[in-house]
Amino acid sequence: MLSLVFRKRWLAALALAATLASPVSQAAPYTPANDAEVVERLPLSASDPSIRRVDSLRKQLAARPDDAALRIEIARRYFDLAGAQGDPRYVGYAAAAITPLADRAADNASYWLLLGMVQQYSHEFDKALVSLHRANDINPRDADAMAWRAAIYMVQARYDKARAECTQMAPLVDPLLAAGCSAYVRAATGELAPAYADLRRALDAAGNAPPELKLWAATRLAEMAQRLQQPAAAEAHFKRALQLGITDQFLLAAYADFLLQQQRPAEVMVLLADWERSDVLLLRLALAGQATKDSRATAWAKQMRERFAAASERSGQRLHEQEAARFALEVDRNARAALEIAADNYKTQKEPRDAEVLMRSALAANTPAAAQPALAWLRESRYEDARLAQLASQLAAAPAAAASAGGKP
Amino acid sequence: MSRTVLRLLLAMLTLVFAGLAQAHKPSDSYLTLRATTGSPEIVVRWDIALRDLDYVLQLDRDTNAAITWGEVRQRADDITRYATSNLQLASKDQACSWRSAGPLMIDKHSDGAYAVLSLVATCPALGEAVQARYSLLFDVDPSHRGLVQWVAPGSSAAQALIFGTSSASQSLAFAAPSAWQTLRQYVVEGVWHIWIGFDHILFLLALLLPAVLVRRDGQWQGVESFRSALVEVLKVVTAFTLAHSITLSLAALEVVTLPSRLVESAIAASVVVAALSNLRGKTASRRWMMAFAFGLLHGFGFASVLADLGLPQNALVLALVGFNVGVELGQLAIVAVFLPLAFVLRASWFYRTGVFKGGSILVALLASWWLVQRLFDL
Repeated sequence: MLSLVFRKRWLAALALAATLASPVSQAAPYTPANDAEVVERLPLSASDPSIRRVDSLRKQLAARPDDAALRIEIARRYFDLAGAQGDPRYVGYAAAAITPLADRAADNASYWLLLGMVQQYSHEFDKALVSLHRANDINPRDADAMAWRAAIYMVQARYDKARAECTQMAPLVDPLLAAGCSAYVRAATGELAPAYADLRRALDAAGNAPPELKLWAATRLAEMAQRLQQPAAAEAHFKRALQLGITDQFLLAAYADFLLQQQRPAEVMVLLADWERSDVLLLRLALAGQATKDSRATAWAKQMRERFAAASERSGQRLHEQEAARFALEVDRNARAALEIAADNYKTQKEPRDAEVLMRSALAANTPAAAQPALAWLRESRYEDARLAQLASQLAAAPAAAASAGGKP
Repeated sequence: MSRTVLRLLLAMLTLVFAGLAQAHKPSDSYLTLRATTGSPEIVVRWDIALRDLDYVLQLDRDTNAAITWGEVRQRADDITRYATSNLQLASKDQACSWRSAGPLMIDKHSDGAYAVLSLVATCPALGEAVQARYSLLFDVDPSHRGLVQWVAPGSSAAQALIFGTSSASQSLAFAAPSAWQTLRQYVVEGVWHIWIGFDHILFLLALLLPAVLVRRDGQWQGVESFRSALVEVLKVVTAFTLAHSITLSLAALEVVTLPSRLVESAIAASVVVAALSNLRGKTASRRWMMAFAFGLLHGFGFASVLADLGLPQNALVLALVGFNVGVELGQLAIVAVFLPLAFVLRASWFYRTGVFKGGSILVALLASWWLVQRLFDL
């Protein structure tokens, strides 16, 4: 019956979230055996210089709560910590520092830049764009605001706007960032090969660029090479990025995905050893563990489920849907659940990886019609990617039986 | 741009993970509030991340980045005071008072260790609801959330609420839903489920289509009077209602249970049979018997919907009656639209051939497809 089937589909979609029914949060509490037992390790000690500096600024603020410059300095420091640690709590602390400035900082470009960054971080993209524009209205040479806008436009797939920001900021920023910005847009809009060549030249010429930027450029080059079906070149770019000696989980994740695609899961196990704490990397570990039949694979999958559950408990917290769909598809091997999540995800997140997981789920679930939105994007954007193109042709060849999602009345 | 902020920007410009730029979970606390019928007390379990407590209370005294149980235990009173001063419960404008109901403990969540507080709030006057005002950590981290499971008195299921900076004050409905609210809720569900349950509607329509026709000289002709059509419709609808009420009740009370795939397949088959019988050249004088026999099946189908909805254990009969009444009201609404239309059109070629025969064929085909799907779980 329609209603029942409808509910069942819903339940399938929530299959992952449903694991939270056995509440992660309500496991049995315990009393540690003795006072010396360490119950929690902090990412940074209070004696860490970066923490001490911001703590001392906070003490000054207690004496001068109206000092706008001090508040902005504190927020900046917290953003630095967020950048270094990848921990959203610091963004929250930064937001708390500038919140009291809301009604008296209308002429402060730094306030608007920081507010835009906070808003971006909670995915309030339109508000963030307004704030970042205000920063430039006050200070037309604030390249940071332009760079953040370019990033937001890219996420929103508004490529013309992104291109304009890249052009505008080019004379104000590191040449490698300018080249990366424009290569990034071009690679998404039908100019993959020339964009790849340009970025390659820019990286070779970038002697003094910050290593973080070099790492980013090399990782993007590796991805472009993959899209161009040049795995050897991709691997060389990955190696070059890793040699910079900076720990970057996005690089590790991209390289792990590359190795998984190349059927080299054993190398992923080595690359990601001890990285269980990162959600992004735990998924790759679970996949590699499954492929190598490692004894820890089941425990990793269980941990991953718990983290999806914890994330979905926050309402509207849908940041993990792309990974959740991939997890359902590749670890749980539940194509229907994966398709439900991927289709839901694609309503809000329309980046290439979101399209890819939707296409793969639709194929696995034998429901090619469900991939239509992703196929339409692929046609219209002229996004070049050999793998996506192959998925598209497989979908086109798949029998159109039971076309509409689900099939049952 | 500082180098670390550059990292944030570049992380965002990493399309692969743009949706997942947050590699860590933001700050949340977890609350379970439980009230019992007739008691002025609300029992609370509150899990707060040690990292968050460290940020506001500096638990890590020796600043070695490792929080020991001793460092937590010695600050238990501070932690409890900090927590209770940031959650105000009030009933009828009178504040509830906090007391500790057990020693502070530790629990591991997916993102680290949490202090577990066992508390009791005693409320002087009980009203319809408890007003809750949550302010934990909001002053230092506006992205913090309090995730609440609220168990109202007499209720077995928890209700989820989220406290955020823009939803810091919320009302916890103290009374379990009243009998009237339960009844109304299930009536609405019943109406809704007959309307979106296409197989039930088609079954009913297949039986009702011939009600405005009569077989004469080997031909279908329109009935003479509205009254005879009405009587026929009433017979069918009443038989269907009686039958599915019986099985719905039996299944909902778990006296009889049948596998859902079997039931769903049989329901699809009943639609096929009902539609095909219209195409036979004879008057099925005993359509109400078919309505009764197959109605028994459809009742099992409704029961599985009701099972999905969940039945309140303390108001089982009420919910059951409400759902049944809703189904009948939904059916009557369909009949009220169908009958006058069909009666007006009954003598036309459009009705006798297009709607009656063509419609029956379509219904039979569609239901056959459902039958295949359900049998073979396509």
